[in-house]
Amino acid sequence: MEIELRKVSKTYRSGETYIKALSDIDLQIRGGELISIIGPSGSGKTTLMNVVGGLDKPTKGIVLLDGLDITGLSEGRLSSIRLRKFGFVFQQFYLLPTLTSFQNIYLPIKEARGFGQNGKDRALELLDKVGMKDRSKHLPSQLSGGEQQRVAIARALANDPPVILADEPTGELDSDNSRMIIDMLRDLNREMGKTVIIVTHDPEIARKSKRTIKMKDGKIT
Amino acid sequence: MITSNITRRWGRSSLTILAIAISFSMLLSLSSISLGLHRASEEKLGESPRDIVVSSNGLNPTIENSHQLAQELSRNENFSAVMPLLTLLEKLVFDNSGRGDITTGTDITELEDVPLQTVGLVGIVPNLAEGFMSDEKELFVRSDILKFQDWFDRSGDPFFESGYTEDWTGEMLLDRTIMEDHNLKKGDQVYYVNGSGKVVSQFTIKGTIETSLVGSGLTSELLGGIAVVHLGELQFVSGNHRITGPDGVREDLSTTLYLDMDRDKRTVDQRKALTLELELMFPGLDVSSRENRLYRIDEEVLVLEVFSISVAVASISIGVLFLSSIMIIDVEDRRSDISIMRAIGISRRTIFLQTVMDSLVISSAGAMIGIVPGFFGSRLLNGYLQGLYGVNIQFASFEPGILMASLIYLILLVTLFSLIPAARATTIMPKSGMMKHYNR
Amino acid sequence: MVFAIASSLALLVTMSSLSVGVRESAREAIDNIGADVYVVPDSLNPILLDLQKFDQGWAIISELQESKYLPGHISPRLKDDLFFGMGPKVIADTIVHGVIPGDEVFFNQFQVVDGTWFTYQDDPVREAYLAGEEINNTLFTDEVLISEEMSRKYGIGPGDEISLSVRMGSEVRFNYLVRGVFIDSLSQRSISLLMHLGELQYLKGVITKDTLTEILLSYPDSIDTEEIISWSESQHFIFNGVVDLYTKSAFLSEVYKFTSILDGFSIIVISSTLIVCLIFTSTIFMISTRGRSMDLSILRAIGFSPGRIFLIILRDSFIYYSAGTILGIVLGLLFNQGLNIFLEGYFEGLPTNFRPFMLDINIIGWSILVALLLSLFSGLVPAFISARRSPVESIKGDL
Repeated sequence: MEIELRKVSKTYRSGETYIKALSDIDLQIRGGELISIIGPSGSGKTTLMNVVGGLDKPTKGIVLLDGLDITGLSEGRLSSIRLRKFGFVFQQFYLLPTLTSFQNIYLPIKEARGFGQNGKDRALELLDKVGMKDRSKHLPSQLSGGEQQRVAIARALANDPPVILADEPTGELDSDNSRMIIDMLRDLNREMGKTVIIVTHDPEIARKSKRTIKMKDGKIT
Repeated sequence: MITSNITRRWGRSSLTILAIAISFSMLLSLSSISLGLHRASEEKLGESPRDIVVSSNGLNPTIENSHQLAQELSRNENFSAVMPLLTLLEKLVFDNSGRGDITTGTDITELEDVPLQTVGLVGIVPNLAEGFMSDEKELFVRSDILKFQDWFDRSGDPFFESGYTEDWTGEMLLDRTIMEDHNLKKGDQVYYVNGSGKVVSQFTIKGTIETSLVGSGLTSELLGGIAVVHLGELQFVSGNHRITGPDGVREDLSTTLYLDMDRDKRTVDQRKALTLELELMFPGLDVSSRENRLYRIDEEVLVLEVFSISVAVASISIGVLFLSSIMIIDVEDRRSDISIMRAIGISRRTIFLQTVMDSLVISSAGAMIGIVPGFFGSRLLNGYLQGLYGVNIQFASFEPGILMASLIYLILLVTLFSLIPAARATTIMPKSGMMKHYNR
Repeated sequence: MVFAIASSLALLVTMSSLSVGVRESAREAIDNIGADVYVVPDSLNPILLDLQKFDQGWAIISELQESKYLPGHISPRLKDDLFFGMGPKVIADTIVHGVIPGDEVFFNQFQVVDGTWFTYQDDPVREAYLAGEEINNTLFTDEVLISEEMSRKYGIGPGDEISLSVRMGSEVRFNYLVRGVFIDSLSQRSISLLMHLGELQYLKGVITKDTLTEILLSYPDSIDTEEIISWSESQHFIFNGVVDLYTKSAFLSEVYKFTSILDGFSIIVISSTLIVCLIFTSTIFMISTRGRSMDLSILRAIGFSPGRIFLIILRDSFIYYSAGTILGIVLGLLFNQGLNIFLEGYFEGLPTNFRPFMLDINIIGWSILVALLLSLFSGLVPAFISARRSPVESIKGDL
């Protein structure tokens, strides 16, 4: 899936102040790329990822997904696109605390109804893929950070989206788990041909990507 | 600091206060009905000095030779006054239109458009009745207070004295409601119609009486009003002066005897003793002392009082249950706040008391706001019931006592139900609330 | 919160049941009598059947029988009182229903529960009066029935003898044999007697006036009782205010006027309670959805649409209310039973099987409907707010 940003800006209001998080961004991402977005804190990298994934709408400019302008779409349409086209992996995992590992993965599968009767099998398959099959009945509070993030990756793959967006996926993890997660994300790109975009402030992770986008003060440098 | 938690979340707090206000105003309004019924029943006995009442059990006057009986009993040293009374539901025709075709002997079934009115007819002996009237010229008859604006010219019962043959006074004191409804004035004629539709007698309106009936509502469906006449005359027109049956002649029948005790002897024990004596004297009749009657009236209204109070209590309890639910959720919501407080050294006791105080402040605010609607609710209910029944009695009584009792009840209930969220709050450990995402 | 919702609905159920119960019990009681039309003294509410009388009963019955609307059965009645005693002792003044046994059997107010009905189906004393013959107590049938409460209270049963007198201290007493024990469906615990109408009229000295308190009429199904009422308005006794005719439904309407107070009261209580319930549950849902904003944002982030989020909140509201409704109906049913038992022991003189609190299918239906509406309104605003919230808001807040 091709993603293109044209003259995208995003301004937030914080009390009485206006913060320009993104400033006239032009960006093209081709299908199958492994990209890191790197920059210091407050550079706008998370905002850029949110705009790419349709989680947030730009104040100016347009975002095209395979030629389709998603900036003017309704929330309903955007939700559908997120469900089927994007998989999100967050720094703080954001698994639903009252659902088991299995249920966290099965939830978007059931919502999309793309797998019919085989949805549950799909969920188990994904759990197995991330090495968490024997922890399928555990709640997030019963898992370690690394395990939670693995489940989060499996959830991101639930509906086989072409694009995976990972926002500081190793931010809460130790080095061993961090390495494991990054390797997993790289495997998704290499073996499954998914476009993987990783937001990070860690140059080591950026070095492992095929392309690095550097951000500063809301601009691509 | 006590109110900071409440004011910080003003949206939910104000809604909660509003709901408590509604519940509290319901409690006040319904409790005022309960109290009003109680007061009304107490008033029924308070006004008239009837120590003992002897009355027919059934449907008809069964006290025979009532005039003579009253005289004999009044000679008893225990009694200072005795009076016979006859109360019946009868039909009258008011002819203020001057139609001229109605007179004694007329068969009204032969006429058209004759306005018949069912009234409560009361027969008294005026000079004896005076002994039972208050200074405001009020006389208790059955469940009603009759306030006499005017009085009879002839004080005794001359028609009875003549053996029901002559000296007919025809005096009638009539309910002001009926007078107004039919445009009547003093001096107008009223005709008594018997069960066959014949006019057997006529009366002249001498004056008015005030009753609690207002001429509308449900009671007006049963009774147009009250009229008072001389006892002997009522006995005569209703056929209760002389009834010939297989066991001879029954004469001078009344429904009730009022007996007033001598002031010096008027004690509860004496009254009890006299009541027993009269029961033996009048087997088969109902003999009741002031205490019996109060008990009976209390019993009659007790169910209504209990019902009213129960609904009131249920309403406020529901409100407090909901408040407790909100407080539980609020505690969860403030989990991180509470754990920080614990981390910096605030004791469990303080947290417990703060949660209880939050509940009390909200409910007290609700109660204060609910007082005014509660008062007006009580007035509204009173007016509604008065209009519905068509009687001028106070169904609802809003007093400071009701307010105090309701507030105390609310405070106790809220304190009790806030123990659960307060106890929950004390279980939050210093660190646990900070892991806010997964400890829900 | 479920218990609080349940309590609100239980109160709704109980208050609604009160109106229904009183009406239904009254309707059942009136149905039980089996009369289609009641003739009562005019300008009197028919529920006060005993407080007034009318004369010339036979003339009125003749008028009714001469119409083209021929009644199937007619039962004239007089309700009065006599003193009853056992042996030499006068015990009490008691209510007596004077009936013609052969006519009264076609109506159901009085049901024999022990012993037998009257042996003589006719009324010798009244027949003698109507035939212009001399009347005296030699014509008496000497038989009575007593009420179940009277039997229980005084230990009298079929085969026993009682005496009846007109006056309190009278030495003239008439001995009667108790044939049977009956229940008065209109007044379960009354102490009363049934005797021949003419004998009662004679004893009370009113036989020459033929005084009655009411006449019950039943008609064949083919006759429309409303037509009879219209016809009666032009007839002599009825037109001229001696008596009035009431159909069963008109009779019930008069009763319902008195029960209408319960409706007004119930509406006030129910409305206030439901408003309180609505305010509280909306507030609680608002709080709880705010507390769940993180979860809801995650759902939005992974692709749940705003509409889906909206429905999730409404669903949760619906679940709470469903649980509360089921519990509330059960609680309401239990309260009703308890209150009925309490009141049954309290009130005398009520119709048999009087159940002031009666739960019927309509009340359950209305309760469910009300609960549905409340669940919808409670969840509406929180659902709307949650659905509109941007998925990134809560997540951003957390970072």
